Amino acid sequence: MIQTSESAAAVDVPLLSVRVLSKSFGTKDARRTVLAGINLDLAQGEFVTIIGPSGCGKSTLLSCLAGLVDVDEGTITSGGEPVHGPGRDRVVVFQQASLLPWRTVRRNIAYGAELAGWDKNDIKSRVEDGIRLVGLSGHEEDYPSQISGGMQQRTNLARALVMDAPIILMDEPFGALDAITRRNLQDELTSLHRTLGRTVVFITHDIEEAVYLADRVVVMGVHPGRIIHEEHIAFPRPRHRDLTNTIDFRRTVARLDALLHPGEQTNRPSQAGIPAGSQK
Amino acid sequence: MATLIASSVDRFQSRIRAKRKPERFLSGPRRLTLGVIGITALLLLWELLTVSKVVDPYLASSPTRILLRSVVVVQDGTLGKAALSSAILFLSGMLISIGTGIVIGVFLGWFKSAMALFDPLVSLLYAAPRIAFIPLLIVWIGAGIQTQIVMVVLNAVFPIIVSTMAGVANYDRQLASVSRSFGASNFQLLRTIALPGAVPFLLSGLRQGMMAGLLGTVVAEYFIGITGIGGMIFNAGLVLDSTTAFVGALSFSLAAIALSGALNLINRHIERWKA
Repeated sequence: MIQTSESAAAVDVPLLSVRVLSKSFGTKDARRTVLAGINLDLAQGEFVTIIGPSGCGKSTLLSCLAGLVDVDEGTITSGGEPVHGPGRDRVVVFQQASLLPWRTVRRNIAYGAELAGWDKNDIKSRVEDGIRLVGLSGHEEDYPSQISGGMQQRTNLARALVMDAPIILMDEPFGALDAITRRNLQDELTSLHRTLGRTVVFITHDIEEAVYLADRVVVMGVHPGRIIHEEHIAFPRPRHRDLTNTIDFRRTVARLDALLHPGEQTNRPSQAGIPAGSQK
Repeated sequence: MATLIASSVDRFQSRIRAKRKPERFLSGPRRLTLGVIGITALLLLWELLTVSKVVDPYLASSPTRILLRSVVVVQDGTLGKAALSSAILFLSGMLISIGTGIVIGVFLGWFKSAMALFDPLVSLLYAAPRIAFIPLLIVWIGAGIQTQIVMVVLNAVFPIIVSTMAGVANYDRQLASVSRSFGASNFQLLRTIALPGAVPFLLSGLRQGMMAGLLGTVVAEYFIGITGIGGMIFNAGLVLDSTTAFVGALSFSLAAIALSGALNLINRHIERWKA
């Protein structure tokens, strides 16, 4: 009974809401509009991926959502409250693992919680949970330089997860990893999303990754950066790797690929789904 | 076409590489052996030249004379007393330099306008031969140990200030965004990102500062009050006692090597997170 009313409310009231957001950079003479008229709503627990060619401002959009960059026009509200600067309701996972090299894995995961000034015992138990959640047990006392890129990115993820923020903003978090590690982390992220039920904004340039992870894929275009298409991804959860071999999945990927590369007709289905960067 | 050129360039470079002598580091024990051989050979040559009276042993001294004199000055306590006096001067100067150097360095590195205001002054003082201030210092403060300490500080503090400042000012911007995204205050950013990131800079500043402080100690002992091992060397020079002068100079060398080794150990411990 309670669950139904909650999910009904979740549909009605977006958790994160962006209204006619615009942002430009540069001086008065050489102004470059990076984002124009962005409207985006995220429901509680929704997983939204944003794809777009480089320079479409997707990272800038994420920075705006994170409160790291001020918007020129428009509003961002989170849980009904306007966003001014970083807040405890949102955490960011950057592309670079960006771990503090002089801290061990454990102390890196505790970093955000320490900044928030939480109780020491509270931090300790949460960090232990985080370590277990992302599968870093046994590496707690390693320094970032001693672990692989994949494990660094797990640490980065755990650092964000322990904050218990309802909204997780991820900026191409797996972009720098090798294909196998990336797939493993994608699979773990989907299952974490299922168990933890956080709302995720995930930026990527990998269409396949975008479709595999998302409830909804947002496609952005350039000059100026804007949303050109939104696609609901209805594949049932939990999702597994096999999904990526189904006709429906390939078709969705091909359709989005065609949107991103309007010049090339996708009468070469075998090519569809290869990330934009690798097509030369 | 481009690939053709590239591949021929490649081939050319690999030919150069093949001709070049392979760059290998000598193993630890081998380096140590060669080092000992080098020093022993020099000492033998020196001893031979003085024994055969090719050079005047009275002016040039000799390894055996230096060794025997060392035993004497150690036993009668003159070296110990002088070393203690020098150590007190050096250590108090260094403590002041490290304390004020870090505080000033962090302050200037963190507050951009403070840096703009004081950086020219620091550069000016750093560039100046500090020995030139000795007469002024004596006029202002006298010729006691305070003035000597000021001389040590004037030598040691600037490398520490400049390195700390550079380290704090050039904190990692990517880590700073992470910190900001977690809602860090300015002070938290300084404490958790800028200061730990500045530690390697600080250590290299400390190394330079320590060597400069040692120099400052010798200078202070020569020109302000004739004290410590510097004074011992100075007085020996006045009476053409080159053997004692060598004993003093050697003591400073050994002190410098010991300090440098100690700093290496600290360095390795602090930077154990480096791959």
